[in-house]
Amino acid sequence: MVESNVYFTASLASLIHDIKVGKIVGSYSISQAMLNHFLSTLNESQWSTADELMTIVRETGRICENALPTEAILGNIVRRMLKIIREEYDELNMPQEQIKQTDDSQAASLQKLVTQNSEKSVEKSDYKALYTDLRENLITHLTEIENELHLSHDNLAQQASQHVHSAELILTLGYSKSVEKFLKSVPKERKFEVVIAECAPACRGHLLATSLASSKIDSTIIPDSAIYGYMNRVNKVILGTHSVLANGGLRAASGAFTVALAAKHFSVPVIVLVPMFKMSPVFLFNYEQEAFNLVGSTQSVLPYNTPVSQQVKAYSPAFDYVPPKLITLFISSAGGFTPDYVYRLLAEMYHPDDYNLTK
Amino acid sequence: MEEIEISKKAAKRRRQRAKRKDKIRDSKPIFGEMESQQEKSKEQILAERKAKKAAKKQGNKKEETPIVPPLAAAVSAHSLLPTKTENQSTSVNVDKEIKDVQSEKPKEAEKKSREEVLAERETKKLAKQAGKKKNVEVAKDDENKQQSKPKEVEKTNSDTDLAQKMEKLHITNKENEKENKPQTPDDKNPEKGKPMTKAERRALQEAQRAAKAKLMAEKNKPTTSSTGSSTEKKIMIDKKETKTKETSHKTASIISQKSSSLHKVRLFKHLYTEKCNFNIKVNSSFHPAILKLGAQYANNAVVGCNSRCYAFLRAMQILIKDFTTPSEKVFYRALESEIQKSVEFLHKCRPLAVSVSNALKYIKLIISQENSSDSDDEKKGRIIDKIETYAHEQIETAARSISLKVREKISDDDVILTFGYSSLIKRTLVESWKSGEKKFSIIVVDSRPDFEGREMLDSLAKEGICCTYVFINATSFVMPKVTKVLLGAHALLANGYVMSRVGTAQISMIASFYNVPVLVCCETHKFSERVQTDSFVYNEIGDPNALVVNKNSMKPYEHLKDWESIPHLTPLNLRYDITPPELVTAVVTEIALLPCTSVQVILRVKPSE
Repeated sequence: MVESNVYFTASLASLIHDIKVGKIVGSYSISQAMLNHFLSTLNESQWSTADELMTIVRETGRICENALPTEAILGNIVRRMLKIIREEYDELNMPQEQIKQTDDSQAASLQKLVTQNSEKSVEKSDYKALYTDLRENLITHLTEIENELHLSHDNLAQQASQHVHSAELILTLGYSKSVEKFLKSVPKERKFEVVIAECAPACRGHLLATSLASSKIDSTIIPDSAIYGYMNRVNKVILGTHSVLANGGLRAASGAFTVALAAKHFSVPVIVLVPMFKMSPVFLFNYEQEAFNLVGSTQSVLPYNTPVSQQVKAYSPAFDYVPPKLITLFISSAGGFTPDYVYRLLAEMYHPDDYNLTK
Repeated sequence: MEEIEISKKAAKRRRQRAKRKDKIRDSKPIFGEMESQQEKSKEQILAERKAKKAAKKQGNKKEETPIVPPLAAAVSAHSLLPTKTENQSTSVNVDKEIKDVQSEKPKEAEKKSREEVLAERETKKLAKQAGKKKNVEVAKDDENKQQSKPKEVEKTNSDTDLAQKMEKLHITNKENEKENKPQTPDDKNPEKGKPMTKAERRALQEAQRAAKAKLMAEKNKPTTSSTGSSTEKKIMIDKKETKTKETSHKTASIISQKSSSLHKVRLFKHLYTEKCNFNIKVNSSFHPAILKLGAQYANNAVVGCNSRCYAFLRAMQILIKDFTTPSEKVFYRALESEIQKSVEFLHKCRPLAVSVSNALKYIKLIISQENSSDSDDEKKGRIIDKIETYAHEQIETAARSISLKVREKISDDDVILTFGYSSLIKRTLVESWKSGEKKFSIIVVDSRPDFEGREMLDSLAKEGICCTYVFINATSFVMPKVTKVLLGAHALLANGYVMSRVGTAQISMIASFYNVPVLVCCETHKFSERVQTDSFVYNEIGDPNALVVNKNSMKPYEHLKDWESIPHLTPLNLRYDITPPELVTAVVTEIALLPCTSVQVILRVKPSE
């Protein structure tokens, strides 16, 4: 089915393959690769109007979503791409005086919010007009986004001093690049301790612990079973996440739910570090974990060569759903916000028509 | 000034010691067999100490009061002893150089006259004791010096014997040093151990001082001694070089021990205990059954609240069976002190489980009731019987009763989640399955580092029960399907909190989030009068290295391989956590299904306490 698709190019195939076999890991590198792919699409593919380009991008997104259903980031990049195409087209399509108007109305965000939809529905464009500048503008815009992506971790890390005070005991889970950078950029004179739940079976927490310890931050590794026991002395929980869902919930590493729930039990604030590209306008349903989870190999849970492994089932889920009510605060590159505000940010980042790519 | 004071103290000490010796001699016939043996050994050590002192005196011959400096050194060495942290660094040196202490021997050869005097003194004292044997035997005896039997034999007066003894002494001490000396000050043994190390330390310090003196060309030290020490030093160096292989691995282990003092989590500093890797030879004053049990506790060969309790009761039975009342002692008092001593040793091996301390309380109670005029054998028989009954009632019968109670609560198509391994839960589930009334499936949750759940999984799967196995961080993944959570407990605290293997609280928390009932199975012999509201005040810290090893592949984790070399990195392996009563639906005991808060009632009602 996929093979017959004209949009399924060789470069896209290799990108998907690389992500699937783990050549490209981490949300940052995945999004980087995806942006690069679009950049080359812009330059190389045959398209003349914005509409044609949008079809290409949308199809690419659809293929990616089918091939890699758990990598929400790919979809996010696709949506972002569609959004900038729309923006650039509208800018070129709009008469000069109207541009000024929109600029003014952007300042009054609330007013725009109220009026936006009605306006749009009236003058919905078909994106079929030909503009020679479009390609050029898009490439510029895309490089800007790439820059933003590049700086997202640093922007996050810059806020560390606003959130970590001295003599604090911070608990985190597994390994997250954002968390690593964030904690490392806390001013050195603030002495704080980090407790890291190792996140079995991959135990990537070890990586974070050694990395933090090498920059002279006191780090303690605990097995995942000690999270609750430790929680009542913890000041703050700082988590990374795989993606943020439209309702403000998280799809995070397995064990995150336990951490968040224990934190709630002891009224410890849970802070989630989320670079903007991790926000996805997807709703997932809490109690059907199988629907959005990725069940990994159980070799590391119950080795295949143990005699009992033939008689029993074993699971090694990769993700946990964390409901929004367990999260205190998100910190993004732009600043902090609560789970209730996620929908608003999503509306700013993506066009509502693009929320569902498979439609 | 200080020196004078110290010397005064030293003199006083000597006087006291002399007195004590007299006393010992007087009391010997009165005291029981055991005591006399210990005292004798003390005396023997004193003799050795004397000999050593004399050996050192030679170095300071020219001084007016030649005894003072070594004693002062002893005092200073003694004052060093309690401050452990400081000592740790020095002990490394001490350990390294213990072998070299043997180089003290040459001194002895030079100074027979003094020694002879001392030896004569010793002879007088020892004359009263049983016959002396020849060197060959002495040497043999010295090897098991700490064993009580052949004590008198060693009290010979020839210089060669003394020298030999010294040598042997150092060797045994070396072991001692390594073993971390698990005795307590109120034991009789440590007194035996301490003077030796003191003497040894003193010897070392002397040697070092002498070496320094030579280097600095100090005036008050006579040249003869300094030249003597220089040769000593050479010997030391030689020995060091030849023994580098041995020492290198030894020092490595010491260094790792030392650096592990760095790797302590601030919140848990009060819980770190010195690891007790004892050598059985060293503490043979304990009953072999106790030593075995201690080893099993320390090596985690016997784990689980029930099996620990059971093993303890068995060991106690053997101990009581082999116990003979020392003459002039009341049976129950002597037995009690013997048990107390053994229990202290066991506590060093691993802090006692609540079930064990409850069993101990019971044993003490029944022993204290045995003050009738019956013969010891009758009393012992009765006590052993009572212990047997306790084991049967509190562990066996209670388990059966709980198993029946839980079976009532299991319904068809239940999905039961359990965590780790609990003998009680295993028994309950297997029995319910075998009864064939209900069909249910089980989810076994497990966690690193011990993977106790594997054992559970094995025994349940063997019965043909449909099992699922997940790690603890996937609990939320399976919890929606679960209809009941069944957990074991280490203890139930008086405030209704459940103390259990680490992770239990987490499971109960997730279960209560999903509104799944949580049943904790706990026999009443695990009920404790202690109260506690967090997992910090009282807990046990397991071996941090267990976290480093991937038990599936038996390889260390890549990033943690050399955690000991990273000062800011600490793996923490907690053993227990505390589950608050609001997360537990009910506790199943052999008496009834209760809410956690009823623990206090049970504790009051319980007859044994």
